[in-house]
Amino acid sequence: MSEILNNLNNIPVRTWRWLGVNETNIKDKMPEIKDYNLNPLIENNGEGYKVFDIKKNNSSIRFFDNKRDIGIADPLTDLVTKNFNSGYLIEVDENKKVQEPILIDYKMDTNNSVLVDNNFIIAGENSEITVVIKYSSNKGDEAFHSGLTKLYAKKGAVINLVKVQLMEDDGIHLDAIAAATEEEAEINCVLIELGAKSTVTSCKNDLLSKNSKANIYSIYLGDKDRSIDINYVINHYGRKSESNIKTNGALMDKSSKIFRGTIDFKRGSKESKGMEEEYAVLLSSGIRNRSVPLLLCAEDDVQGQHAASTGKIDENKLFYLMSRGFSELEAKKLIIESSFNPITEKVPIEELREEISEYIRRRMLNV
Amino acid sequence: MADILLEVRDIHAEVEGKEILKGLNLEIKKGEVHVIMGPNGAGKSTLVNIIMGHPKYDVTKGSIIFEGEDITELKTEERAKKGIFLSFQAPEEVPGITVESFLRASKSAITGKPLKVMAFKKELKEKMALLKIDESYAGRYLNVGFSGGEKKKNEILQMMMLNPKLAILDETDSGLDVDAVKIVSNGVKQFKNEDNAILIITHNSKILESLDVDYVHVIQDGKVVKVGDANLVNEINEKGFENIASV
Amino acid sequence: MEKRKTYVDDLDRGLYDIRNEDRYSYKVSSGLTPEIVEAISREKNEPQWMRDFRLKSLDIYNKIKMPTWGPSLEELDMDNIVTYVKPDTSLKGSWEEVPEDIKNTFERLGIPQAERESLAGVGAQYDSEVVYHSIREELVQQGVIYTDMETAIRDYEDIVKEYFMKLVPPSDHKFVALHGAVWSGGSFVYVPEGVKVEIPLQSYFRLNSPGAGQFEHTLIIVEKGAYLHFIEGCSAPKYNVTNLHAGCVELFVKEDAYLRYSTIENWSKNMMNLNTKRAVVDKNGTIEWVSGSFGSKVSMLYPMSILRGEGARAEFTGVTFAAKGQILDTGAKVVHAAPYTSSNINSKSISKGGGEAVYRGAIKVAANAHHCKSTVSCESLMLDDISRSDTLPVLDILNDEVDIGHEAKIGRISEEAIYYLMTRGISEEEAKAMIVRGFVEPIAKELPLEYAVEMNNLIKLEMEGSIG
Repeated sequence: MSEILNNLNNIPVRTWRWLGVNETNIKDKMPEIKDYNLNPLIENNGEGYKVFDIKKNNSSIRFFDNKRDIGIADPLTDLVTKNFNSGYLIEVDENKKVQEPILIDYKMDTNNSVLVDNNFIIAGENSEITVVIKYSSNKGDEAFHSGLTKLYAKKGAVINLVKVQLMEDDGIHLDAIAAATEEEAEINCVLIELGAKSTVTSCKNDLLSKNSKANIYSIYLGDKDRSIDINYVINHYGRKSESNIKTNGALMDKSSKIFRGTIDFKRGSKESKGMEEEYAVLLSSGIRNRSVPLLLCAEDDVQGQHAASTGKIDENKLFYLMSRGFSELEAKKLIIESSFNPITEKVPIEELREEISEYIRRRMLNV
Repeated sequence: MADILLEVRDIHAEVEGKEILKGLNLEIKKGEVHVIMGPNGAGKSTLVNIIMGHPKYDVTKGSIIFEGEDITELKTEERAKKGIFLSFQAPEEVPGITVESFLRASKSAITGKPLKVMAFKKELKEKMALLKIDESYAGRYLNVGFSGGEKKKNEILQMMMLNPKLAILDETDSGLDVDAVKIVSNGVKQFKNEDNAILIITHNSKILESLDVDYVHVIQDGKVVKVGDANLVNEINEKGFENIASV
Repeated sequence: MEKRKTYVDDLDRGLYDIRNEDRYSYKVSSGLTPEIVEAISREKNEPQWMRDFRLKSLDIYNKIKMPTWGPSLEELDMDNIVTYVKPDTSLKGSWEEVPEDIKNTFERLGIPQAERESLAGVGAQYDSEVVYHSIREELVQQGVIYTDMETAIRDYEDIVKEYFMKLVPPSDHKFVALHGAVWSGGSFVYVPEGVKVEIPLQSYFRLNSPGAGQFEHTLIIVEKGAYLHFIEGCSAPKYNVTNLHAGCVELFVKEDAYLRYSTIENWSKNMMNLNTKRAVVDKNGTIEWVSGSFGSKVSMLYPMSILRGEGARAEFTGVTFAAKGQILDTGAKVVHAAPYTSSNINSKSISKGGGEAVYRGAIKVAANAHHCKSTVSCESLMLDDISRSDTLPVLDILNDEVDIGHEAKIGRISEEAIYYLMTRGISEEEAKAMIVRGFVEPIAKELPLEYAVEMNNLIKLEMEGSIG
């Protein structure tokens, strides 16, 4: 397998080509997909849910075969579906609220440097579950990660998916989340994808029926020559559905980022609300920051809003902190960290939160 | 009885499928000042809205008679033309239309006649001065960026310019400072005469101090539970709603 | 700056739909060949360089593909567009000399009246040639040139050659290449250094022949420290055959100069409006666009401002009203190519009766454009649940010392606001119209009075649904 992946992260409505945001093409060659032999699943078969290792038994994923087309059909989805070397299906029983988060800790090392994971979560009616998936690698291993996570929340269910990616600088991270939310259900995605030299991530959520909710909270941190490519799409089909996308990021050195966020009100999604905010702090002159906040609407009885803003750190804020004894550098770090905090706080495992803070601090030494 | 202005007869009303008014009765004669009080959720704003014909509210039983005519099925703007005015608790901001041009359009719509521009401008200037509203507000967009107090004053300005037969004041004095309350009270007093009537919804009694209140109705649970005169206001302020004996 | 304004009587759509007999002195056969392009050039007695330019553009046109984004243009059949139609008169100097029926058309649209009273000069274009042009004496003495493009090539060849299609080259996209090959008519304006043209100049375009194309070229140069307000209005009567408008506007705003370009595009509902407008602004110069898009079946219109001098500024205020059968894909592009530049885009759109309104925008900040600032505000009003409204902005920033913000809102007229107006005696229909007028007020107040009136009328007609 060494073909190049083209046409990823397609924007729902194309625009001028010279802006380079219509789609993304991976320039790197794909590695050979070997086996992944580590065991990442920390929690297994607790109360109220079942976990299936789909490498051994893939009958349960038939649930997704006749679901409406969840997710984005593109080469990445194709790659994972055909070539995955790890994957779990977590099925939560009806009416069970699983308190403890399930952690899937994907480590990549020299012998397991290629990970293609294909994960599924089905939440039964009125159930609740939190799943944390972590990706990390070792320096020098040139890790390659390509993953797909499919989520389905049945009536009244709540799925909280937290993805934490702290790979080393030579890694590549391609990740897609495909979700569908039924009546009165809610799917929350907290996406903290900070590592790898190149990331291409997407999250698509279909709000199928009334009172369904989708929230995406994400942060990113670009430094050196990192490239970050994001594509979020929330489709409002159901009445009174609600969505919220909130992304905070910082870019320095020669890093670059493309953020595409689409809120699409389909005809019939009366009384729905959608809100999207994206803020990017810029710290050096070699960066490239691209934002495409899209608002698509075929229904009048909705409220849609988006805001995107970018620029350097507010001078007044800096001055205020400096007047309280912080150096300029300390003040900058403090301001950026505080913009990340509301989102990193949503990670339910304390050690992981600390690891993330440490990781951010390490990366910002040279702000 | 030619001097009955408004009659609310056994009104049952619901909003979003929930019944709020459960057989409410009210009679207002020309020249009178009525006050409605009651705990939160009692149905005060529902009452106000069904008199004005808010499309979200359904009258399931009963009728509303204005000057002898059944207006229960009439659209909101028709009721305004009949001479009913509502001073909103939270007036809407409408950008792009100035206070002056809005009032002109409204007055012309209600009287059904084209306006004499000079006379209108003169009257507007006088009434704004009376309410101590700066002249510049005439050129500002309707309620946009107005403070709570400014919005309320603007409602009273509209009332004085449109000269209705029945003025319903919904929490007009809330959010006003002491001076503003005086000015608004004064404006209401000036407006009041023997041919029109006022229905005031209020929580506190500041605005009532300068008016001669004829009747106080206490609403609870969608019905009028007690009717009294001005003294009832003080009784409520001392004892609270729970301790007022029911009718 | 004192501006005297005229008052044009309320117009109704019927007034726009007057058709004249299709009598013409010269008609090019349909289809696009080098022979046709040469014939056009010969008719105009053009210098060799322009003929060569046209042929080269045709070449580019044949090579470039149609755009891969935006509304469908498949209804456009280039082989059946008669590109060049010349009305039955030669260029006239005074209004009285223009043929009766052509005169009547413009007279009914209120143009000569406006010209007499408040505008400094009027150019009226009827199909592909400019029928009437005049310019006030004082301006002529100050050195202001306002003439049609054909005359400009003859009388001011050097200036025109220096600027013509340098800002929008034929290679830009297919319809610009087409324009380069078959362009005809349009205005040339030159304001010399330091001259302030106090009263607006106006051009008015009208398309009469069925199936014809309009390819006017407007070239405006505002020299250092000069000032100009230019108004462009356009309309066409309704026909069943698709009409095409592929005009081009090039604006050069020099150091410390100011140019305001106002337009109401009100083409009839069978028009494909693919206009390309671009301005380049030098140090401390300002370009202000004021734009109302109402007519046409499909519109693709994105005025672009290139801020290449330090401190240059661009302002864009626009409203788009997409009604039944219309896809209006409009927006604005700004390129910050120098430090301390600023831009402000304020776009409003209304969708009704199945219409589709799209805001398509781009803010690009080059790597050297430090200390630049940009705000974009898009607001969309949906009047029913059968229409569409999409907002597609892109920010592409390559410098960190910037302050860029974008916000967009979409929704419908608040029920509470309608109820509020109804309690003041205003009917539901009138309340909606009032609120919509208030919604577009920020644009209306930037337009000269007669345009604001025209715009409010168009809105009133659209709201009543009387435009078919």
